[in-house]
Amino acid sequence: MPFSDLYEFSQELDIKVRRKIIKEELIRLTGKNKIAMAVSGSLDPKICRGLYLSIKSEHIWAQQHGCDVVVISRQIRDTNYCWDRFVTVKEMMHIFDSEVEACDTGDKFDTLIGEFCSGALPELSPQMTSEVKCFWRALSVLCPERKRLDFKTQVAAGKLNHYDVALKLRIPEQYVPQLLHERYDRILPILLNDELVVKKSPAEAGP
Amino acid sequence: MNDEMEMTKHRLFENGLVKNVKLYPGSDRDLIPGELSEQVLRVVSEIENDELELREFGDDD
Repeated sequence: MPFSDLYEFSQELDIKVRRKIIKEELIRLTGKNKIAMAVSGSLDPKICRGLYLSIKSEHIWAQQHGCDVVVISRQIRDTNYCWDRFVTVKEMMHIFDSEVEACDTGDKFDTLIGEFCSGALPELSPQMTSEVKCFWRALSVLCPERKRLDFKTQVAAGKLNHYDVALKLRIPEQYVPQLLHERYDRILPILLNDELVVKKSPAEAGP
Repeated sequence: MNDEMEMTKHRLFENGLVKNVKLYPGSDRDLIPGELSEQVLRVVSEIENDELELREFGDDD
């Protein structure tokens, strides 16, 4: 199931785009029984805002709640609705991870953690590339293209500022410049054709 | 710290429940590998102990 199916679906939605609708469509498109959403009191949002886990199907938790779980820091859930929305949608996008992109060994985990902490590698691993992809995927489903083009025009004309756009979309204000940047126009078709290969540091490429 | 990382990886993958893990880093600019991996381990412990709080999105979420 390609991401482009979810993207096409999301383009018909009104803003703010509801996470419940995105999740239901993901379940429909993937044929999964469940995608669990969870809150963790032990996640420190200064270190980790949230995460996605795919759990082995033989584990009792997966049998009860499904193999895919998106976890958000309780502190974020309780204090920042826009961050809660963006982080959970970005992590949901990892449902589209390919086998190559999965972080499923100690060595890949080492590399991924190292990339988050150093951000200085000339070319990103497939695991970090998927992190970047999911950042852009989340932006693209939370802001239908017709609305993005409209915002771009209005911001250029001084009728809206970045905060206004963030408030309408209910996403973190700091991501609005990336949404409206020319680079987005170049990334979107690559994203829809699943051809994104990132050769920049994570800080430059995404969140 | 290396020993802790090795234990974390073993617990997650070799003897653990994880098929794929992805992260959303926090607001700190200077993340430390051991701290970040510990966050994953904390959530895995919550799953193993069935302590993770499940949530449902509301219609307006």
